[in-house]
Amino acid sequence: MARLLEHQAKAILRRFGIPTPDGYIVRSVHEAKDAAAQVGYPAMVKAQIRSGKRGKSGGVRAVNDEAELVSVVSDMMGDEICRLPVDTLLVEQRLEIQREIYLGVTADPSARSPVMIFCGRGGVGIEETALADPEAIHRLTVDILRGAYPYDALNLVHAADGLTSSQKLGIARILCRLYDVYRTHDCKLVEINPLALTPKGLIALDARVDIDGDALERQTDLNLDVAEEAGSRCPTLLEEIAATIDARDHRGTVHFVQIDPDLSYAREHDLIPFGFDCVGAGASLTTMDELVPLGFYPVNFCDSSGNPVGSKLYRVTKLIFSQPGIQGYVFVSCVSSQQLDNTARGIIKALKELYPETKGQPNIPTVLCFRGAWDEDALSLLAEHGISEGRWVRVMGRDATERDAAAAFYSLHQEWRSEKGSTG
Amino acid sequence: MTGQMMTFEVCSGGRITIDLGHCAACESKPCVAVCAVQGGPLVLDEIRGVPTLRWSLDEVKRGGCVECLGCQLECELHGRQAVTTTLPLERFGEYMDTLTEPAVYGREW
Repeated sequence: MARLLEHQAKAILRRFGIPTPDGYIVRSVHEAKDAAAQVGYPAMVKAQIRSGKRGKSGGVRAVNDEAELVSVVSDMMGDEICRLPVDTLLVEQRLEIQREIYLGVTADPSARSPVMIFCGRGGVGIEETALADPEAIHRLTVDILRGAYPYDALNLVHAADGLTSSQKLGIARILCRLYDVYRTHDCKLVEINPLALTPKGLIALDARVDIDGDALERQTDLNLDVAEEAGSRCPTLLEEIAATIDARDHRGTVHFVQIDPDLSYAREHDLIPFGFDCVGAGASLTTMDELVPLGFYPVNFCDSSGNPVGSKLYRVTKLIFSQPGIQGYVFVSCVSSQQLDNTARGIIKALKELYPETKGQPNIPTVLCFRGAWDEDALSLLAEHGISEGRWVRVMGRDATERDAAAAFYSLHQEWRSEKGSTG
Repeated sequence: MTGQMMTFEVCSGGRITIDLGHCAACESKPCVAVCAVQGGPLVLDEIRGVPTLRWSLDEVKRGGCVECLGCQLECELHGRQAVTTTLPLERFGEYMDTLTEPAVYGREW
């Protein structure tokens, strides 16, 4: 999933005819002054970070004049809000708010349909409203083949008190446009909170657009950096590179995320960083559960499953090994129908290319555990190519458990560390 | 195909090149054998005694080649080392340039 920044989300809304405040992206005090001169005072300064707690954490502030603007922008730029670095701000006109409304469209797994959501009381307290007064949240599932029509949305909006017919019609139209955003851009969630009733009409003061990660490749007009979801932080360059592997080839997947990109967590907690790849996220979790108590920490998560072609394994193995500071590599497959001989070929080609002098035998502890379809072929290939004979390699088959693989890695690493001394 | 070299592009981006000059003297043709198992595009040209493609270059690129890498790896071990597989990783060089310490495979322990 790709969560867009507020200004990116608003740019999309504007393309679909949903009004937003006038505003400019700035990255310095000088740019902020120019932006405020355009939108006028009072203005809003909003940190462009991916966090739902931004408003309550000082990431959205009003300024009444240039002195305040300079102070706020200087304060926010380069700082961290919700533990996220702030390097971009949105300077917007501040509008008089008469009422705040919540609109959203997301997927309803139980109905297997999109669902439009409306609440007559929006703003920063929407989560509390949902808990305290769930009946205030109105939902309508949408038949995806039929689509959403203004009268569907109007039925939803009619539930709200204190709105004129004209206002209800306006909200219903915006909700339908929001549904169009959801469908057009393969979203998992689109949200306007709040949609403000102002003297100038209905205006989306804040917006959230989350795009389905598996559909990012076809959202080319959004010009996004495509990568696996990595929480609220921006994708790393290595994650962006990894995402290109699946973008070009639909056959199987390699989901790669850096858990500890700069190894700071591993170092801070005195854990041993290692590169990691599993067939299946479940096997990945259970293997991590075995390895972490033994003092290891995976610097990346990788699930290369869905029967990926050998070339995908080749590429992602190169990426995993390119992470500096790793003191080992663990590959574990779950028992599945994945054609593991192809998986093995990808790993073998990568290792032979990375370690030409040793014909593919790595210089760090490496455990390769193949269990599932064609696992015996995979083991034969590793033996044929001389990888299994590597001093720091342990190859395991279908009799091994995740615990066995972790124990083998631990033992191998102990031996390796004892021989190599300080591993820095 | 140019002269003794056969080159075809693959779906994921990249190409496989076979130096057919080596292939005539190869008795086992392991690339053809492994490709047959995978349902891939390589077959034996009975007249010339070298591998050839059973589909068009477009069909091969569209996914006819399953990119198992078997042709290269089998040829390395049992053939004449005639197959080269080039599978680029977009921006990987840029990433490597950002590293302040070498990757593990370039490191002396």
